Amino acid sequence: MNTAVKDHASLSEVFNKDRERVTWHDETLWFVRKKRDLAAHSIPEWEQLREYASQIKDHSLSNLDQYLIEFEQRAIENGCVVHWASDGKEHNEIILDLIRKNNISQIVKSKSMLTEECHLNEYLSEHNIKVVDTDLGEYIVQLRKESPSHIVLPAIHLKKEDVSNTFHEHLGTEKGNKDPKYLAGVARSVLRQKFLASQLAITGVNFAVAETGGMVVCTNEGNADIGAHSAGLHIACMGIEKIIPKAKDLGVFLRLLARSATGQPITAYSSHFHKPRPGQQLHIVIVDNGRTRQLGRDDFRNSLKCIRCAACFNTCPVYRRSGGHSYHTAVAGPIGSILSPNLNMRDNADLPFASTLCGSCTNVCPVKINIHEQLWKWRQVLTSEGYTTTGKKVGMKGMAFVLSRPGVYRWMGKTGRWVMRVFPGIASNKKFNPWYKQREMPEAPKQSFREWYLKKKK
Amino acid sequence: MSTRDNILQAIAKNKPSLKPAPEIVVPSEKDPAILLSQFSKMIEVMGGSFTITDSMESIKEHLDNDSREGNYIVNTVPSIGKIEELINKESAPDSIDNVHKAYIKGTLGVAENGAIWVTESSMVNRLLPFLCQHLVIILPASQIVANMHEAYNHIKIEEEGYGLFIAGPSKTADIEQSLVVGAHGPRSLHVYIVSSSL
Repeated sequence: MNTAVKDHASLSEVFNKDRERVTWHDETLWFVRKKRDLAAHSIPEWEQLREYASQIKDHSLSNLDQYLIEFEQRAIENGCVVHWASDGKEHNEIILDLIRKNNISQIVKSKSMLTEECHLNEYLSEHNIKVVDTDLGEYIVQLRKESPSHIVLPAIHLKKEDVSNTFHEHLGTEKGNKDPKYLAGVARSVLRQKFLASQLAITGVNFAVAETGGMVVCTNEGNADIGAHSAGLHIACMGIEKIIPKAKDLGVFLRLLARSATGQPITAYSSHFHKPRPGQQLHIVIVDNGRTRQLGRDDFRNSLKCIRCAACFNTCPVYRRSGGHSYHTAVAGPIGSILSPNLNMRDNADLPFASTLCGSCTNVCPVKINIHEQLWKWRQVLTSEGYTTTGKKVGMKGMAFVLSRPGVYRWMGKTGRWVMRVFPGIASNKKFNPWYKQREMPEAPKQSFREWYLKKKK
Repeated sequence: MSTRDNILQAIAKNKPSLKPAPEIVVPSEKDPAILLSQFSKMIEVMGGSFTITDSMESIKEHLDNDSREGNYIVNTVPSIGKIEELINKESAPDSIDNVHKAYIKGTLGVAENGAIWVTESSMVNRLLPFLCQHLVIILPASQIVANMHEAYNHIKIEEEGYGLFIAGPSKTADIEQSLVVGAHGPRSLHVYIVSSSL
């Protein structure tokens, strides 16, 4: 990623150049939201489950150090090796070290947002080590040298034609054949060879159970399992907040996760890893990377409850119409906008402003994160830290000045109406008047309501 | 101080005051007929198929027919036929890659989502339920529970090194949301729900 990080507004302006495509993207994601609704409404105790999940996570975070110690102990007893990483850099170095120690060259990886956050693939690539992403969506974007645009549906921004072209270019599939079954079938054959030859399988962790030292990985494709069961070394990467206290807590989370994410009652595979298989090494990397800092923020601690379902993405009108790449972070959407400023305030100061604060995200969050409130609170923090643009600062200060002085307000209104009537070109100049970019200007009345009312009163 | 100590210390410093864990109370259907009906319906919703039978003989016949067709069939269930001896816990991936169909035993079924808990010892080798082209699971009807809460009450996830819930065949919708069955894992899942105990 280059240092000149473009902001959400300018990136989404690019995305919005193709209006038909934006509408298609919008409708596709809203359809996923509707599937979530059907699934949620079919469970009478849905709201109760959300409350349980929220409380389990609240409890877990309030006792996180003890649960991590318990998890580590159980995992070691089970025959796992546990590593701790303070940040992305340390996480990447631990993995590189294991690769070198074990003379590994064939690596497969299943979905892990944490490894995206740590930029693992880029780091390994700099050391001439290639990783194959095996989730079909991630495999597609990897071939295209793009990042995933959605944490659950990585290639949601692509059409069949795009995938067909990419596979034709990289895998030699029939030109123009965009049948999903055909394309997926080719990927199946290609990736099976990678699985069978793999020496290292890197996976994420959906839930880490303190009571048993086990890790749960949920997929529909089975790619996490095939890699982990083929490779001689399995490395599972997890953020500290993935801990849940007891095995029975999984009952709550596994009922909520897939329904919130895709509307399925459960994913095809919900795998519980405890011990390495005979002759295999199972290593776990527990990562902080700013999470302990977020834990200390009273206003933003709740964001650590996230189970990465992306229900908030699918409902967010801004995400639906700007796309994941406009957020320039590993985790996009509403949850990304309250997690990312903690990682880097300067680069991610634009994200909490990429919102209308409609609150739909909070409404669908299975663990009851108050996302929209945190978006608003981040705006306060970022502004007082000095990370808002000069334009916005001047604009807000100007607005406060005008709106708190009735006389000034009236004079501004009168002048504005006069300018709009006499110099309409100024108001319809998009550079000068950003309001006009997507809207028609109203006809400027000859008098304000107040002026009319006072006249009438006489 | 190690990274581990730094992280644990930071957590101890930053964590909020202790909140209690909730007591999970969720209603669960107990009627076996209703559970069987819901479970079988959900198997189909998840893209699988099922047969309800009270005859291990009929399953044995299916297995025999399958084997006669010349495909590489692996059976791990003693009561329906000969166990495949070539495959064990330590078999290499290459030896499992060409399995056409695998018969394994399920421990527990979950009615709300059609999922079946399968343990490492049941599947014999962790790759078997994934690399086979078609998967068949044998499950006693008496082992169907209402929901995931009940499921976790009945199983001990750490008892074996690996176990999983399987719900349907492998699938993906990553190409423009078009559902494709048989992503990397099995292209089909068939469940024999047996009304007598195995």
